[in-house]
Amino acid sequence: MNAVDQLLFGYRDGHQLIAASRSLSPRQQRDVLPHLDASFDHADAQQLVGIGVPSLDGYLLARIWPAPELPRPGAVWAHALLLSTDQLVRIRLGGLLGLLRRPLNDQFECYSSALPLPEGIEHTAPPLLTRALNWALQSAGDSPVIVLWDSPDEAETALVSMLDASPAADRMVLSFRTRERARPSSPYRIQVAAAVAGPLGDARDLVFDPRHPPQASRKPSAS
Amino acid sequence: MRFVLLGEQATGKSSLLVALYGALVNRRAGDVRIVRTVDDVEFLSRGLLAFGRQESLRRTEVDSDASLIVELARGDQVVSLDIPDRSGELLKHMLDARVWDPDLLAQIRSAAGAMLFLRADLLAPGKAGPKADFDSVLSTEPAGPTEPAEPDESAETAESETAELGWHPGLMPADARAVDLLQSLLDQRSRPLPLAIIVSAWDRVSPSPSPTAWLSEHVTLLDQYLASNADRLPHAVFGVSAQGGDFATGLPSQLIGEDPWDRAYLVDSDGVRDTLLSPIVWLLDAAM
Repeated sequence: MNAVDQLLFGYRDGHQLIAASRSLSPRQQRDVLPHLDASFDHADAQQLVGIGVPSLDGYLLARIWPAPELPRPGAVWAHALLLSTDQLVRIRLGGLLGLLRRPLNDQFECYSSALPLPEGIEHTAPPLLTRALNWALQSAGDSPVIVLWDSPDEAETALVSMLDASPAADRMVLSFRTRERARPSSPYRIQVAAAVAGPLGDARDLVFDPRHPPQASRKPSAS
Repeated sequence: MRFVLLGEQATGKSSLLVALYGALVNRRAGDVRIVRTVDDVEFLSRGLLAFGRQESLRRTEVDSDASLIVELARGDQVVSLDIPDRSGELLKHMLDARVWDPDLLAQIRSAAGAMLFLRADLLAPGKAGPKADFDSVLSTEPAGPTEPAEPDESAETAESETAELGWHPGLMPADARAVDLLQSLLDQRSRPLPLAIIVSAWDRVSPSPSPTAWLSEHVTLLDQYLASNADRLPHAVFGVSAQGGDFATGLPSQLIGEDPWDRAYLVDSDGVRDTLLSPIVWLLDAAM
C-alpha cells in the first residue's frame, strides 16, 4: 500500500518495456502499449495519460516524452505508475505527478523497484480549467470530451485533481490524456490539448473551449 | 478496397506509403493516376518533406489511426483505396502475445489484399534472427521483466513448457515470425488473400539478385511456406527503396538533388525496374 509499481517503456529494437518493478506478460504489455506511446510535434512537449487497465487490475498514470537522443526518429520514453484498485481509491493522487521522471543517460536501475508513495504534495489547478472539465464531464453524457487548453502543465494538474475529486467508484473508468493536438474518436474519456488534429468528421467528441467563454461549447457533429 | 500492411517495426511500411503518395501526386505512377485524396494526408506530406530533407521518417506510434485513402484511376477503372498505416510494434507485440489485435483482425478479415514487409538489411546472412538470445535460452533464464505469455486455453501445456525453457516468441527468427503470422492469418480467412511481399531497403542488397531469388536465398522458410500455400496466398515479390539510399551514410552522388519521388525505386519479381505502384496494381489485379 505504501509503494507503487512503475514501468518504463522506450525504444530498443521497437518501442517496448525497458524496466519495471513487476513483471508483465506479453498480453499485458500489449494492452498497455497504446497508452504508453505517442507522436510529438515538438521536442519539448510531453503527454500525461491516465486509464484503467483491466488485465492488470490497476490504473495506469503515465507521462510520455520525445526521445530525440535515440537513433530512431519518433522514439519516446514513457514512465508509468501502476496503481492498484486499493491505491486508486484510498490515496491522494496529487503528488504522483512528481514521481514521473524521464530517464537520463541510460540509467534504468531506479525503475526496477516500487516507488514510495509521496505524502502531502498538492498542486493547484487553474479554476477555469477545473470548472470546464467538471462541466464537460457532467454535460457530455457518454460522449468523449475534448477540452482545449494551452498549458500542458496546468492540464496535467487539473486532470489529476479531477481524478482525485471523483467518487472512488468512478475513478477506474475515468480515463484521460493530454496531447499537443487532440484526436477525434480516441479511447479516452477526456483529452486536453491546445488544438484538435484534423476534422472531427463523424466523431462523437464534444469540444469545450474554456479559453473563450462566450463560445464555450459547441457540438461539432451536429453543426 | 482495403489493403493491409503487415510488418514489424522499422520494416518500411510508412516509408512506402509516403513514397507511393509522392509518386502519385507527382505523376510517377505509370498509367495509374490519383483522382482525389479522401482523408487527411498530413502525415504523408510531412513524410515527403522529411525525405526531401534526406531524413528518415518518424516511427509510427502504436495508436496511430493514419491511413492512405485515395481514389485511383487506371484506364477506365476508378478504385477507392484504403491502406491503414499501423505501427510495427503493434504486430510485434501481437505475435509475442499470440493474440490478434481486434482492429487488425477485422482489417485482415475484410481486406482485398495485403503487403508483407521484410527489411533486406536485417535479413542479410547472420542477421535473420536473435541467435545470441536463442543460444542463451539453453543455459539461462531470459533477461528483463517479461513473463511468459498468459496461457491460452488451447495452448496451456505448450506455454508451460516454453516457460520452463525460457523460450518466448520474441526469440523466433524473422522468417519463422512471418510464417507464424501468415498461418494465423489463414486461420482467420476462408478466402485467398493476395499478398505482395515488399523487401524494403533494397538499395542495401548487393549484388542485386531478383527479389524472388533473394527471398528464396535469405528467407527460405517463408519462401517455402508461400510456395506450399500459393492457392490461398497468391503472391509476388518486390524490392523497394523508398528513400533511394541510406540517409545516414549519404545518398549516391547521382541522387543528390533529385526529388524524393525520383529517388525512390522499385524492382519487380524478376529484378526489372517498375513504378512504385506495381504492388498496388498487382494486388488490384489479383483481387478482382
